[in-house]
Amino acid sequence: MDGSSSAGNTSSASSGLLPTHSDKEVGQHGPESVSLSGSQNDQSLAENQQFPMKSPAGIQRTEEEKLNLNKNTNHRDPLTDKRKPSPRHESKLDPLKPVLLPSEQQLGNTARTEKQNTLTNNLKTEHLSSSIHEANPDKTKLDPLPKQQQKAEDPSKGSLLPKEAHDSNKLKPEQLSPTKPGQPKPDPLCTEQKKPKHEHHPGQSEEHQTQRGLCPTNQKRDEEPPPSMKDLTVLGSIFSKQNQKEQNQLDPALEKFTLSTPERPQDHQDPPHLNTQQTPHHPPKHQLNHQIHPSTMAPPAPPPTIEVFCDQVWPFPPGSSGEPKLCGFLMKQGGPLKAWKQRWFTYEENKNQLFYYRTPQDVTPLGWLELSGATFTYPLRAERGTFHIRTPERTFILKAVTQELMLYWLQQLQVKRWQHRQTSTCPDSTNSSSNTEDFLPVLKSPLGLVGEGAASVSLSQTLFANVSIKHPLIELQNSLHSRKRPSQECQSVFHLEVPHGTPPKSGQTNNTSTLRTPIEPPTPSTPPPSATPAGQVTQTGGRESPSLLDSWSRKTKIRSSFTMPVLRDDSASCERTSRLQQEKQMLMEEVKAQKELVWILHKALEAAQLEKRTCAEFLAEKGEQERLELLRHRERQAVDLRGRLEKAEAEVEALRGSVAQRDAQLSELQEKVTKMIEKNNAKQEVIIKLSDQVSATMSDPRQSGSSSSSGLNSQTFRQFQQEIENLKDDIEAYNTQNKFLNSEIHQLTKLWRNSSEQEKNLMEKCAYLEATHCQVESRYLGVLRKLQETKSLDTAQRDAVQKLIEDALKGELKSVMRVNTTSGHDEYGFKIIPDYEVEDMKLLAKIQALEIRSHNLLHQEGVERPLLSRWAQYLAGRSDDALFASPELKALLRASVPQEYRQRVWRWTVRARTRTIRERHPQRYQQLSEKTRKSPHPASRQIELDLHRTLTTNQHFSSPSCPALQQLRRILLAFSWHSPGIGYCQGLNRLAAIALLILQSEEDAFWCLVAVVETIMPQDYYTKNLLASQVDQRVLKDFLAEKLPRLAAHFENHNIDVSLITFNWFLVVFVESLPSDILLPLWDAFLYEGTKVMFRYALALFKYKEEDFLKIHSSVEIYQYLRFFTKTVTDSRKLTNIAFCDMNPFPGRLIKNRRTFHLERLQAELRELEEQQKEFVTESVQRKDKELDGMVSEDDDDL
Amino acid sequence: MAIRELKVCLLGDTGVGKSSIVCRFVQDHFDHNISPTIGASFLTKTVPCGNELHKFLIWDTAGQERFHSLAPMYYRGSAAAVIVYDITKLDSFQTLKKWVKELKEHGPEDIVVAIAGNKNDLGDIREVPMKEAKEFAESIAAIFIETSARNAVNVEELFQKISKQIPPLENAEVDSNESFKLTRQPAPSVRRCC
Repeated sequence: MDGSSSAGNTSSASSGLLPTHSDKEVGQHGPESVSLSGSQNDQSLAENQQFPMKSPAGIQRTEEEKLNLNKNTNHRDPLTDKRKPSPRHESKLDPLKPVLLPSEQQLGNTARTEKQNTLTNNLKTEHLSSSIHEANPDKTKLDPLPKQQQKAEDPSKGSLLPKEAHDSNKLKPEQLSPTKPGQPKPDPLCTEQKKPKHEHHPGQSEEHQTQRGLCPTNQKRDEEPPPSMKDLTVLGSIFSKQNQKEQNQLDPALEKFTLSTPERPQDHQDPPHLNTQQTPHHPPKHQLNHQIHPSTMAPPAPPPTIEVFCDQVWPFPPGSSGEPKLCGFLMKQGGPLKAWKQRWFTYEENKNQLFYYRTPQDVTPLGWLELSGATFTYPLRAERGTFHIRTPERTFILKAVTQELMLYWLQQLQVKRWQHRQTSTCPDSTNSSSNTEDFLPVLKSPLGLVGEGAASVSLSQTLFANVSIKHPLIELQNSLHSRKRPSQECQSVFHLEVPHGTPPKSGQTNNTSTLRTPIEPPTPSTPPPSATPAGQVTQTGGRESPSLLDSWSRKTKIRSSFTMPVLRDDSASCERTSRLQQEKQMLMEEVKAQKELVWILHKALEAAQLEKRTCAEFLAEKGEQERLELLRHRERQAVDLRGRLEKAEAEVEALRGSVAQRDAQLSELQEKVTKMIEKNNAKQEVIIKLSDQVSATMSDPRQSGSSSSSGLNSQTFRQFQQEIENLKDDIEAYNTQNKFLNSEIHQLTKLWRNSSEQEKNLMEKCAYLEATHCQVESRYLGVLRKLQETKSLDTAQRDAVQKLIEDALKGELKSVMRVNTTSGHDEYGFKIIPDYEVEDMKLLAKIQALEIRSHNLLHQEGVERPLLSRWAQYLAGRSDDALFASPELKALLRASVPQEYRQRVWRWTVRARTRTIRERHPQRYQQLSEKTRKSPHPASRQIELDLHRTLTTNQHFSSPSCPALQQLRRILLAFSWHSPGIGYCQGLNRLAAIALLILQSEEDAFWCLVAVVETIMPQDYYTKNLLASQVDQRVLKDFLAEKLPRLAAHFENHNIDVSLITFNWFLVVFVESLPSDILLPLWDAFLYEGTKVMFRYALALFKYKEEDFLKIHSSVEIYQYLRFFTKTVTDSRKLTNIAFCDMNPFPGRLIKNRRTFHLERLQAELRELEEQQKEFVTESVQRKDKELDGMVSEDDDDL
Repeated sequence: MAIRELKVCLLGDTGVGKSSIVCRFVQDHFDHNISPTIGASFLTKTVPCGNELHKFLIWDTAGQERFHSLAPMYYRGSAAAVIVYDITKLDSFQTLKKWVKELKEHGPEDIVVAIAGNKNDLGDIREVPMKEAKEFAESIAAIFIETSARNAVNVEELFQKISKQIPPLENAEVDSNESFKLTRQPAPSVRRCC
């Protein structure tokens, strides 16, 4: 309601016409409040709470103050120019000045205190709810009071001004019609007051109308309105205009608080008597201001300075001289007591730190905040102006004097943080203005509260207070320092006198400085700024209220005197008429009596005439008979008449009965009617009451509050209203906070993005450097190793080399294990540096680990990232069922599966390979598990034996308590039942363990084992004689001879049987022969393509190290090398490349053919062997008999 | 000093501690959960023996029975074979006998056989009496020693004994007959083509 009405006012500012509803508001308010003089204070207080932010009078008076301040300045503003007529009147009406002075003084105080309040509270973009007000004890005390005053004046406007208007109407008839076009417009307040009187408002109370009717007759009685009140309103209206302008400049959001300000310019065309009264007050007020200033201006912050900042362009380029240095006083919560302490905060551009000092003169900061890593926020439900700066180390809780200042600080800090980032990271970019996506309107720095000029603010307070307990040393230093340099101190003390810190731009500053001068000698006894206005307000409030009451009582008196004579006149005339009427009545009755008498006489006359005629007739008859006849005739007539009479009597009786009946009916009906009327009346009353209420609530809730009948309703209504207001405030507060937090999030995101980019770059750089470092180190170790082997060294050198090697091995863990610093295991739990017990091997292992690392680091960017994206692309949107064998998948699998997809891809492959078996036995694994629980398999002994010896270097299997071991046991037992022909073969444990590691599921691992043993490997690979395994070794030898003839010849020359070593590889698919970063890619392809991959990799391994083998010419050394050379393969990419490119063509058919060929040969050999064995057995049996003889004979010999 | 390369293979049931003995001998290290040998493992160690250096080329074989078929690859050409059994497992002693038999049938003629009763440290749960084992060893003229790879008992000695049994290079042929009772038999059909 408030907002809308004020908005309406603002919009109508140009036209100068008042919206009618606001007229009504004021218009109704006046008369109504007249009737309630007793409860006025309470009510106005309540109304204040209802409109906490509105307070038009408060703003008006603030403006008044401002005008006082600015009066002598040249305003370029066209709006303020309108005010110029007012000084003109000064000379005319000076005589009035002394009379008005006391009230002026009063007003001056009020205005000032309220100005401060409005500055701190009302003029903010932020309006926290009243609950927040209550959180701040100072504020709660402060807020209602000025408003009470404001309200107290409202009625005065309402009640007094109308009469002025009427006075003027009477005195100056030409202004009787105020809305006349072309005429200078009268005081809007007058208009407001008059309007309701000209139009008949239906919702108006009876009383109102009465007053309206009566007022004109008594105009003369109150020709003298209290001058102070008039003055106040007019002054207020003048200044509100300026205020509005400033507010508009300040923040559009403020517009809503400039209630009914737009019409104020018209004040200058007011009826002259108003102006004449108004103008002379200024000079004395000015003086008063000067006198009062020192005590009241504790936080000076004169409002005109806001305009100074309007000209400032924001944001400034970093470090530009135009930008005020970001410094100022803030309250900082700290210490063991969590007390607020005022600190001088200074932003240091170069370090991006916010230093805080006890006083601005201090040299040594009490501490600082690192802004580069800081985030800013502010809590809603806290004291106004509180905000938090979170650095990684701690959270600083700071408080600015006002919410506005807080927002200013936060924005500035954001800007600084960003600027610093920009300048520190990429000095070329000058996009500090890239902050254009601002979420909040950029706040102007409130001069005096921030910047170097703020140093003098509340300096006096901080001189001896706020001593930091935590930093006694710094305190001491600072105090010493300040004593050493008194000149500096002086300078800062008089800082305000010559405000060079921020040279003001407009002419207003002259005024400001002159205003400030009286403050200069800082009095240590100055009370805290928040306390001062409160005291002031209570004072003025107290002073104000009596005058108010006066006016009210006077008013009522006037009214009562109005009504009395009217009543007297009325009763006199009434008496006269009643007297006349009585006379008339009497005369009428007399007439009536006369008429009745006449009628009775007439009747008597008639009867006499009839008697006379009958007598005459009787006398006229001659004979007796005739007389008798006549008598009889008469007699008959008499009888007849008697009968008729009887009849008539009966009739009458009947009629009487019916009449009585009718009467009864009638009375009944009448009763009903009265009842109905009563009902109707009651209903009407209700209706009237309700309609009263409705109209009251519709027209103005304030009015409803006044009517005692609907007091309860209005009470609740007011509560709701208040709640709504509170909620609105809350909403606004939340909105602002939300905006701020949005901007904070936006900023932080930008910073984060920036950082992550940097991080990425650095990571790349780091990876590259680390790779080169690893290479260098591995080369160094290689050199050391060679040195160690060379025999030509003397002992000293040998010792030195040995020492170097030892050192190198000691530093081993730190340098190589950066991938997984905590454990030294890779993502699958394999050790990064394999354990070798031999010193020599340790060195080798380290060299190898270093090389693997350097290769990995170098491959990361070029190979692994694209591969990852290829996989992501391939798997995106595909369910596991939608994966099909394809050349693309094959190529991807050969390039290895990224860790994050490995489980999924393996599961898919395994399921695809075991589909038929699983479909035949859906619950196969569960059944087998059940079976293993019931009946132990003969292989369980061997399984138990091997269980704890599986992948012992892997951390998931390293301890006997590992859950993986239990899973492994179940898998192996289930498999031994699933495949009785194989049962358990040493080596299957490793296959199952790898499957379990990757697939992370017992059942999947089981099926993986099944897939490997039953679908990938040829038949009899793990059965009794490991026949197919032996066959594969022969096939491998064939391939070796074919693909690597030189090496094969070399092995042949040195009588090397590679199968002694390679048998192991094939049986367990290279598990524990290859490091995991080669093994797993091998398995990726192996699970998909089958055994061919093993041949490819086996040959690739030989090819990879072919040159090394060819250099070795001792069979023992070749064997030794064969045993571990697989673990020295460092470049898995190179190996993969050899396996899948260099070894081509590699037709699967060829393997098959060779397998069948060798299988047949091996089987033949085995058969031969068996025969030989049988032969031998029989032979030996025969020989044993002989031997026994021989032995016996020998024994005999011995004996 | 001349270095003689001596091929030694370790045979025996699974889990008796073949690899542990080798590990103890070569690296002087013991691991409770040493990986089961698949196929075979190859290690070397050089020890001085008299005026010679004996470089043992140790082939540690897999114990599981189905790997027996691979054993000939390893014991072929061996100068010595160490057959290991677990004194706490009677089964392993039975397996040992099988190995002795196989060596007798298919092994090199002049192979030095050593019988090592491992896990000597677990004497309280012994299943194979030392006397019985010793008698068996004597019956086949093999070296007998009870070892503990875990406590490093008799491991060095085992190989020293083997070293001593190996005839010096120059008179190897001369002494062979009297050194190895096992090879008294001609072993006519040992030549196989594996």
